[in-house]
Amino acid sequence: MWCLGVGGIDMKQYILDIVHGISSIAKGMWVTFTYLFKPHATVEYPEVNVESMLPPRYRGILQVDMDLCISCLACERACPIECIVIEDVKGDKTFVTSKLTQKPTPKVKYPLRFDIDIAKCMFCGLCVEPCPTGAIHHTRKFEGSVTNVADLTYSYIRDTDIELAEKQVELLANKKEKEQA
Amino acid sequence: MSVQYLADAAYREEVLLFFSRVIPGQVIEAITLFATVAVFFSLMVTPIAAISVYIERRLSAKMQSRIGCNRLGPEGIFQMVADGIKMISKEDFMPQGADAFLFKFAPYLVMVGAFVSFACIPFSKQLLLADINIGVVYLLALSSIVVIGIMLAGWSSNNKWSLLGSLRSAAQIVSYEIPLGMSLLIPVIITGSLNLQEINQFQSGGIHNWLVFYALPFTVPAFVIYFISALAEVNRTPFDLPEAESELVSGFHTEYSGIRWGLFFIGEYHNMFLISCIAVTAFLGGYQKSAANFPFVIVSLFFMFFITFHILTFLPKLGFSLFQGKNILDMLMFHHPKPMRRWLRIVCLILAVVVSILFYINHAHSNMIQVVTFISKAYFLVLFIMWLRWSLPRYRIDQLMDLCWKKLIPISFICLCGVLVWVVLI
Repeated sequence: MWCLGVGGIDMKQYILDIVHGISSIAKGMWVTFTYLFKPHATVEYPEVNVESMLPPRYRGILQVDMDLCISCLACERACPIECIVIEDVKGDKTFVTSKLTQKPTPKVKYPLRFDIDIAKCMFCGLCVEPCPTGAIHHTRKFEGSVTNVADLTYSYIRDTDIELAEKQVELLANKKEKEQA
Repeated sequence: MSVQYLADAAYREEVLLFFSRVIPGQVIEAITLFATVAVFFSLMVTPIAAISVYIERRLSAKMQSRIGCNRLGPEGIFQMVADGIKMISKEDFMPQGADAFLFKFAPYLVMVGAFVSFACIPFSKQLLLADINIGVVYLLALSSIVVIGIMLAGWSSNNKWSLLGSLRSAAQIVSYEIPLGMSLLIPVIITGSLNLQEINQFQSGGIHNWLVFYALPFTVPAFVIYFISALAEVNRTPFDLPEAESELVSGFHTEYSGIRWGLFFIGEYHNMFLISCIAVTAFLGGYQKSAANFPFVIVSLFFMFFITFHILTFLPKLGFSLFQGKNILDMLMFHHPKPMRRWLRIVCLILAVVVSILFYINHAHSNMIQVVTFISKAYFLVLFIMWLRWSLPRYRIDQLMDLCWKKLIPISFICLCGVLVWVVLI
C-alpha cells in the first residue's frame, strides 16, 4: 500500500528519506558530541615550549658555525634568492675537520663578512646541502620578529674571525715582500 | 530578588498608594510597569546574549578540538565584556547611497522584536510581565516583526548581497511560519487556551503531564517540527541562508558595523533563547515541578557555581596585584592551575546535586527556584541549537523549501488532525 503513491510521491521513498535524514543528523551530532570529551589538539603557544614539538627535520632560522666555515661560497651560489653575502680574503692553507665526513677539509680563504638576510630567506635548505663541512645548518628557532627589518640581516662573523682574516692578509703581504726581496 | 519584588502585584499597589496623592493613578501604574520591564530586561534578558556568545565560543572550540577564549579573566568569562566594548567603540559606518533612515532603523526593529516577545513568557508563577490571554498569537505576530527588520536592513544597505540575503530570509520565514503556527496550535488545542500561563499550569504534576508526551505519536513529531521551523525562523544553522558567509558575504548585515551590527547579533541570540523559552513553555513543562528537571538543573547549577567559584578565587588575587601596582591586563590573563580546577569541579558538582534536591523539595514555594528550572531547561535547548550549528552544514535553498512544503507542513497537519481526534476521543 505504501508503494501506491500519493499525488505523484512515492510514499515508501518519502518515509525512507525522512528516516535517513534523521539518522544521518543523529550520526553527525554524535561525532561532534564525542569531541566534547576529547582533549584539545591545540597548545597555548607562548606558555608551552613548542620547539620540542617540532618535527626532527624542521627548517628554522639558519645558523653558521664560523669555526667550520671554509668560505667556499657554495651556499652563496646555491641560494636562489641571493640572501647570503660572503666577503673573504685569501690566506694560508689550513685544514678544518668536517662535521659531516669527519675528514680534514682544506681551507684557503678566510671570511671577513658573512651576512644572511633572514627577512628574504625562504628556508628552502638549498644552502645547507652543498656545504662541505656542515657549517651552515638550520636551527629549530622560528621567532624572528623585530621592530626594524634591517635587524633581520644576521651577521655570523665574530671579532676573532676578523682578526684571523686580517692576520692572514698580513702574512700574505709579508710573504710577497719576502718573495720580492 | 528585586525583579520579583518589582513584578509583585502587592508591591505595585503599595507604590500606587504612596504616590496616588500627587500624580494620577494611571500615570503611576504606567511608570511602575515601565520600571518593572526595565529592571527585568536589564537584569535578566540583556546578559543572555553575552553569556550565550561566551558559551557558544567555548562549545564550538571544544567541538573543533580547540580551547577557545580562556585568557581574559578566569576561564575567559570577561571576554564577553571585551567583545561588548570592542563593538561599541568601533566606527559606525554607513555605505554610500544607503537609505539613511531605514539603515539606522532596521537593527532596532530586529532587536525590539526579539525583546518584546519576552513580555508574555512565564518564567515562574509570578515573574510574568504581561499575562495576555492571546499569548501564542502575540508571539507569532511579533516573530514577523523581525523579518521586516531584516528586509529593511537588506534593502537599505544598497548592496546586492544584502538584498539577496534579505529576500531569502523573507521567503524562508514566511514559509516556515506555517509549520511553526500549526505545531504551536497543538498545545493550544490540548489545553484549550491561548494563554501561556494556562498552558504551563496544565503541565503540572510530572513528566507524564508534559505536552510532548500528551498524545505521544502526534505531539513528539509536533515538538520536533516546532523546533526545526523555529530554527528556520531565527536564521540559525542549518537554516542560515540569509547570512550564508560562503555565498553572500554575510547577507543582510554585510554593510553593518560596530554596535549596529551588534544589535543584529544580540537580536539573533535573544531570538534563540526566545524560541527555547517557547518550546519549554508549550511542550516541556515550563517551570513546573518534575523529577525530569534534575539533569537540566544540575548541569546549569554546576556551571553557575563553577563560574562563581572561579570569580571568587580570582578576585582576591586581582585586588592584591592591583595593590602592588601591576598592570591590570596582565592580571586578567590568569589561569587556575589544573589540580585546583579539578577540585573546584568536584565541589561544584556536589553542591549542584545538593541544591537541586533542595529545589525539588522546595519547588512550589519559591519563585526563584521556578525561574532557575525554567531557564536551565531553556538553556539546554539553546545548547542544543549551538550543538546543531557546529555539526550540520547549510541547506540549499531548494532543499529548504522542499523540507518545509513537502515534509514539515503535511506532517504537522497530520499531527494537528491526530491531536484533534485524540482530544475528542480520549
